[in-house]
Amino acid sequence: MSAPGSIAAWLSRLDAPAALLAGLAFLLALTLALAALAGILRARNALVARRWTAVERRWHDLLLHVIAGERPEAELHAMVRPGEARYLLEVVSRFARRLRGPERTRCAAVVMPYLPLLVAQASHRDPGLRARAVHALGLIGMERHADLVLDALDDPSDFVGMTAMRALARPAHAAHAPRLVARLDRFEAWDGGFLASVLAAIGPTVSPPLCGVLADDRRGTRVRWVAAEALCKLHHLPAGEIAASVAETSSNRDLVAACLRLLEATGHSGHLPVIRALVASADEVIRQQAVRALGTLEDPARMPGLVAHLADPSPWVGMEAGRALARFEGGRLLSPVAAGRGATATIAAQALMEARA
Amino acid sequence: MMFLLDAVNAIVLGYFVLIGLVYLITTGIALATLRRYARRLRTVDAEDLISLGAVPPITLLVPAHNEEATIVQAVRALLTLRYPDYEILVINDGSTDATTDRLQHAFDLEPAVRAPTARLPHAEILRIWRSRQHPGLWVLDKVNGRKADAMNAGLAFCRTPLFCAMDADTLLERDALSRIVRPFLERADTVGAGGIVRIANGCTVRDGQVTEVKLPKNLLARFQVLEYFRAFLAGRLGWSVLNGTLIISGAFGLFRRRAVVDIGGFATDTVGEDMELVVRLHRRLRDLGQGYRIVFVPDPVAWTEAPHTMRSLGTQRERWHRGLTQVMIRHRGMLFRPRYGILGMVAYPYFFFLEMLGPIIELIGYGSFAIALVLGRVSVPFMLAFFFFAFVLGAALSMAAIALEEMSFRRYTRFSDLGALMLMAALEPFGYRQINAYWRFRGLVGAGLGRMAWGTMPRAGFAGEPAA
Repeated sequence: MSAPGSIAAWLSRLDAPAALLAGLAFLLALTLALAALAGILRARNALVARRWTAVERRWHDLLLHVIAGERPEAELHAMVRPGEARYLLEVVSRFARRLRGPERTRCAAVVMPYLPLLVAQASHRDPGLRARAVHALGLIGMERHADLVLDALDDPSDFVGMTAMRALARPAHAAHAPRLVARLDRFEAWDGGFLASVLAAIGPTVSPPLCGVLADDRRGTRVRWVAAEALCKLHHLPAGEIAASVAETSSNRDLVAACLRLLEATGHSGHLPVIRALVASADEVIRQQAVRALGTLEDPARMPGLVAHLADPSPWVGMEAGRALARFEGGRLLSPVAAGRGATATIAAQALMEARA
Repeated sequence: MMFLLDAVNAIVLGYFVLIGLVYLITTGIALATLRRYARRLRTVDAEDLISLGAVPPITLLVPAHNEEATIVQAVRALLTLRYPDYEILVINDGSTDATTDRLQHAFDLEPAVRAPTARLPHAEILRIWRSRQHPGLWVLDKVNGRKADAMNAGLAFCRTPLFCAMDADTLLERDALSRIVRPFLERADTVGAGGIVRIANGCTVRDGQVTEVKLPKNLLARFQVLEYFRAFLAGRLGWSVLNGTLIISGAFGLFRRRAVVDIGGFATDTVGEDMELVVRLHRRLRDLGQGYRIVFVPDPVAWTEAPHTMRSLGTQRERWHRGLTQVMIRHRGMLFRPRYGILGMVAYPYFFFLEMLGPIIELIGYGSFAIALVLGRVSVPFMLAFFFFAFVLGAALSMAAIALEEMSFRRYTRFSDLGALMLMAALEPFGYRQINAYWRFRGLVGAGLGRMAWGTMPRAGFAGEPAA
């Protein structure tokens, strides 16, 4: 008998098959269980939401007074019933996210007796829960548990590690900046611009260690690139010399481009030879950043030289040249080009329009 | 003859077992993932991301063809998104109605100059406008060339590292961009991310934002709510966890501009340009041996109006399946090729054999089972048991999708909506599934005949939204 025929014959024999019935019963039970699960979840969620809304309403006015320093924390603690402490931590964290200075300090004081709950959660096996604990501790528990947040930088989960990094990357915790910079390598997979913004949020204190990273050619290129971007956001002037040296010697496109951006922000006329040399690069990204840096630093007498870059094969380079020329003497060099036709004229006209806006 | 009948029945049985198995696996993975994901989301502070200035700029590419009725509200809604740095590029794809006029009056457009940043083939650009009121709003007026062509035109003028592909009638939630950008922050090698698309029919919409979520009254739209739950929360999330994302909905997806430009932009010779783009990205990047990631993210939400008549739903489903078939045939070289990893060995074969060929197998199955029954090749109890099995399996998957929604995002807050969704899960196998199979079958045939038409969908508009 053929294979399909055998299957059909086998299936036909299953008139009252225990296996099929068992399968059906299982699926039916599964369906009913899932339906019940959805219903139970709905009921539970509604109940929980109602309960917490009521609890929050009960605390709300007093909590505001406590955070404002008008009432003692003990009054609020007296209102927290057993089982409500975790929710208080959540509510206060929510407030703390948006507060600074003494109000933030008072938030931390309010939850002080309940912090052991977060400490325990910080070693939970679920990374999501660990991250929440680290996040909350970063907001309201740094005074007592800074070490725990710092240790989380080495958590096996990248997400927990980044949560710790973000929690620590604040001017108030600037003392930890060298440790954050030292751990940068573990976040190599993350977006460089994002990392640079997080580091820059620490403030000027982080600049010296970042300069060290940028200058150190034993560190990974990506980490050095992040350091250059962060220094650029911080406008750290002493970084200009390092950027010029790295731009001159490195062969990595992203790193050179980042150094050129840093030179644009922090460089001076002494760096012009390095920048001018890179304008002739075969790489369009490097050319673009070099032309952009020239637009800011170039000697006015040599600005007309930028007109040639309007016709660069890469529109990105042309646009940077256009923007630079539009800023120079009210776009005097650009207007005749914009009056013409073709791609170069479009770029020139666009640059003039942007400058007017 | 009998051999053929038995063979067909065996294939149909195998198909049902396999597709049920795949759905169960992806749903199981989604169940395990979504709870963790929802927990993790509570740590993410979108406002913090925004205030840090740590997010890359985005261009919203909004292709519009004869959208005079909704375009102004749609753009107004886009202007209120909570994201620090974004541009809106409306690409008026040769509209024959007053789309441009409406935009011009509403946003005070003036002629502007904008240089292209990439060379991509697209129909001629006639004029470029920029809003005096909102400098981040641009309008490209071009000769009609269909959606993919409009997207290419937008992409050619895109100046940001990321762009958001969307439809003109898509309503993005205010925090949708700050949510969908996260995979790009967490992994620098992310080239594409898709968000969830939800059905706006029945919901209250004010100022381009869904303010009250309700189930639609229309039965067809209700079925689609359930389908979208299954497709996005169970299907796409499950495949994403397996690194097998082959579709990012054209209604809402975020892409790295450079990666898309490097592969030549959107394909204009298919109606499944959204899926084609994702498959081609996979193929090219794998061929180049480049590390990359394409993911589905379940929390950024785009709302869309679903077809509410049999005709428009049939047209949409026929087109979707035609697009799927075109893409599957075009990239059949990926099938069972180990170099494409799980994509080539699991995801692609699944979409090829179970999704693309599914309607043929299903429709033939109904007929051949009936013939087999008449000829006594299968017993009546077995036949009944089989159909009951298929019905219960479908209902189980729908229930699981409803449970997924309950354990994560809970958008439908009324108890009656939950009951109605469960009822839909029970009703779906009786008629709706079969008519869907027929529409998809027509799509398969249409792809074979080389049809390229899009068809039109009459819009009822959003409840609560004032007329333009």
